[in-house]
Amino acid sequence: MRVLFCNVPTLKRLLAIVVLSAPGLAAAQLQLTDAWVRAVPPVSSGTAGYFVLQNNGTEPVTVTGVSASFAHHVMMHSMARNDDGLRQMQHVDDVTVAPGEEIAFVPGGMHLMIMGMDAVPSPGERVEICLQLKGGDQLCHDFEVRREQP
Amino acid sequence: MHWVRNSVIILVLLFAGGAAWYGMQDQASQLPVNTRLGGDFTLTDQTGERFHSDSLDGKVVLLFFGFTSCPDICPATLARVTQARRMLADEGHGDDVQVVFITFDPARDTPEHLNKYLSFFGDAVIGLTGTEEEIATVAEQFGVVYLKTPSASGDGSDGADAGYDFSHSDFVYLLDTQGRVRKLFQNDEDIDLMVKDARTLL
Repeated sequence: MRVLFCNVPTLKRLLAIVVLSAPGLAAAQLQLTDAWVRAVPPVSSGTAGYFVLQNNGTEPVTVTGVSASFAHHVMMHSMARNDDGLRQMQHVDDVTVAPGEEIAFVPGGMHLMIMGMDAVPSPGERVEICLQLKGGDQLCHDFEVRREQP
Repeated sequence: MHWVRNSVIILVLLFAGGAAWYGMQDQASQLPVNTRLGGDFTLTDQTGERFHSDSLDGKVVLLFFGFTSCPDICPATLARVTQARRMLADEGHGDDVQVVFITFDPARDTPEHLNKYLSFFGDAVIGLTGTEEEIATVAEQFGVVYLKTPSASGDGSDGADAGYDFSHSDFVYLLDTQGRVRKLFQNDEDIDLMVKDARTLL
């Protein structure tokens, strides 16, 4: 089980781990899967991160921000075709996942824009990225650095 | 029993003829020549040398436009297209297929930067830059539209980036050995289809 809540009171953290560690229970609120970061050349100014976030709970969950230990800026971007038929990235302030729904950050769609990297991670490395949730919780997860989509 | 023998001979001939016809169909590409797009161009490659498109003659080319500060689509497309080329190289066509990347962003994508960036994807990519006018001309030849836009990540004042992106059309162009455009792929096209179509031009 790689999903851990960080920076929450100890009791809540323990509870979260217990809940998340119990497979098959519908109480597992958030499930983060398919987490990967695109391997890019060491001279790159940025890269992109992808994941699928599933809300198995009964309340909506809102992601209000993203952070990574290896980069100064991580933003959520949407990718949409504008009126001219061109792809254009747009900054997204927050993303809400309704109960029972999932949201996918995928190449060519919503993605994490990772800028200001201390060092560009190499293929095969694992990097930690944390999602800040409305209400103050944080969901951290290892992202695999890969050249191609899993 | 002559009729039996004759029938067998006729069947064999029909089968052989069918197989030969099928073989010819397989060799001759069914991809139409796009006469509206493409043409000769001159730009500067990642070694700083002037590069004329006629040096691609004799090769099947997978060509696309982008900019290296783009974090999502451009490296993804580079990875996919170079993988398609590797698959063809594994079939013995490594010298017959060329990947070409043309930047919209000559200010940041200098030959030196392109050289470092593209080496990550193997040594088989030709990266091209030029003056803004030269790039605009080539983009127009290929029907590529691009717009410099304020960065979605901010204005660059906080060091996040240099403050601009490009919104752009993002096809991958398949050129035949005479430099003619034969197909436009969506950038997320199935790699196997790219390989299959490229193979018909070899």
